[in-house]
Amino acid sequence: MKKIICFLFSFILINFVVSSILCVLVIYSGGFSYLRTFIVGTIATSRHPQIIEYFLSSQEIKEILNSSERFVQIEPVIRRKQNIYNDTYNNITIENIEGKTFKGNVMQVGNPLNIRLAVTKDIGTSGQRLIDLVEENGAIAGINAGGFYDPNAQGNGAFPDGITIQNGKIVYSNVEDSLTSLIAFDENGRLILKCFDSNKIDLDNIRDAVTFYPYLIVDGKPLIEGDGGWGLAPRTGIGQKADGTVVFVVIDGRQPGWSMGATLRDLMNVFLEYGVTNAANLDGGSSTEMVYQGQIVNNLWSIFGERYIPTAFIVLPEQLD
Amino acid sequence: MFLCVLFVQLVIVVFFNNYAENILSPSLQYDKQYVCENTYINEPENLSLSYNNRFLAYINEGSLVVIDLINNNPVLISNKKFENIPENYKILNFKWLPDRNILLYFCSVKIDNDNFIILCTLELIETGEKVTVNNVLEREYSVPDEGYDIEKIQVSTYTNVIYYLSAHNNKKELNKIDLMKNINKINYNDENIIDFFVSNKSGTAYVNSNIKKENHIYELMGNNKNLILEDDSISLLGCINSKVFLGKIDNNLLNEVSYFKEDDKEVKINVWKGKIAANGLETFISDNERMFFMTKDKITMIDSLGNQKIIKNNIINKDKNIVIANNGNIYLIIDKYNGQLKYTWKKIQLPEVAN
Repeated sequence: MKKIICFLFSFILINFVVSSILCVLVIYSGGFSYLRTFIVGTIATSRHPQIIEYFLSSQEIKEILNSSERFVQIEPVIRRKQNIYNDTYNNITIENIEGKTFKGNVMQVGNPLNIRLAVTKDIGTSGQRLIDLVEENGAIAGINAGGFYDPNAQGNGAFPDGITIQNGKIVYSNVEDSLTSLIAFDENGRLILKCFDSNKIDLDNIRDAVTFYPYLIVDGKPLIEGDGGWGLAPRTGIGQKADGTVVFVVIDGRQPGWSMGATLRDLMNVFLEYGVTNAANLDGGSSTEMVYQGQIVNNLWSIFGERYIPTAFIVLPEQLD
Repeated sequence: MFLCVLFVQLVIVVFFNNYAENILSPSLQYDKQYVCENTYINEPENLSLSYNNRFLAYINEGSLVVIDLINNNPVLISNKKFENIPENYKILNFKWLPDRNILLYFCSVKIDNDNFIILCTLELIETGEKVTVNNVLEREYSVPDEGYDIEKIQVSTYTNVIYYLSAHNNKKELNKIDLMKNINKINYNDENIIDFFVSNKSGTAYVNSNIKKENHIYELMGNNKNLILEDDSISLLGCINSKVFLGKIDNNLLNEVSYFKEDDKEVKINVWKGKIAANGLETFISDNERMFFMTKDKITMIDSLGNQKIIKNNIINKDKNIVIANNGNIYLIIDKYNGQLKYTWKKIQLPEVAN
């Protein structure tokens, strides 16, 4: 019995060592191109992209990320759906979804006028947890929104990336003289996905906005080619249907046995299955989170649970007339 | 008949009065003794309170114990919590997160001839009086052999980093676990780590160490090490609210406490001057910047204005333990009663202002 255990242990160890070496060869050689794209895409868009830079040049990384097949593949990705909550008063529904490699949550908010952007009150010093952003703004639900400066994956949410607009005013910007992709809401609750010249943003038409990318669907047209090139990861996304219903999606990831994550194509297809006509990817990874009534809805990946984030899309309660 | 009705009314009123008392009375009652049933306590280690004072955790004979102080019941006594982990695992150390009811803990385990340390998180989810426990195995790390210990853990929840000081074969190692749960060793081979603290907000580690008998304090920001000062008489006392507290020790006496702000390290602000015996001194700094200096026989508090007060004298009964709450306003006296845990909440009175 002992010999068998020793043999098995040695066999597994040897395979592990060989796999580690092969992994490096796969990245260098270019054979097994799907696996190569998947590995490079996942690491390059994680919080430690520098790992892949030890093996490949920036140019090579860029070519690999852009190499996924150039066609948009629309397909059903949700294998199971379970409605877990109906808040008829606030016109909110929450469902659990499950796909081939992921589990996640979808929140539909019937009244887009209740969507707001919350910004950390300590901007420039630190972010806030989503639960606190939701509670302090009198909201009942929320998801994490834009990205933030995160050096060595040790960012504390102090500095949002790109342009952040709240209540019609730019509250933070680290962009100069360039085009910036905004995910914005106007005064009528309409989701606007548009690139703006940082010097020419029409603040009369935009109430709240963050910067992130890529857009998944614009005016009904799905945009993600191939798998999106970013591998599997936790994802957060926001979208809107033609009737104005806002759809929040969070996908758990990096949790073997629970949910490995979704590709950008998966995220786009989830929105398509919900009939969304405009949708965008928001900050994912360890920031991915959805909160409802003071509870975290999804399974957070980080050891500590909630990250400190700079911005969140929140849902205000329905107002009595 | 009339008397019966009166009697029934009396019972109803008494019942509802008790019910109202339970709802309206504060859950924290000072100077009242509570006994926690179903808890066995014998020489507990690392007694500490969660950030909202609801839970008390300690290590008892190699097991992790977490008590719900609202219901006075244990919510966890670790024995065998994970499949495929042998019963011979031992809790090494733990740390509460400063802003949520999550506790990190390390345990050691031997599987066949291989030694591992395992990082786990324990989340305590409060729903009113009810508590749900979510115990998660985060990561296993292989270690060279048995006898690996974790002396101290510090965390930054804002930046998702964990620092811990391990001790093995008479060597101490300062390690950092990053967001991706990877470990990196921080100190040089010939560097002797004396103490360290981590700023929760910035994730910067402040380390007091010596190399070739030269004592220095440096900061570790991301991958950058920056020397702050070199002085044999200065020790790190703690880091709270983005302030790093330093103590000056001469002839085994702590005689000065000062701090510098993280964003202005050049300026040292003096808080207190006096004399406190430094032998066997343990320091705790609360969220409201009260410093508690604990020796075997007393606890001395110095508030943020430098006023000094003796909190507890004559702690000579080894069965009693003092646990100060993170807010610095209250503390627990822990005792044993028939082998079970008994505790009393006490308020910390403000020190008299020095003339």
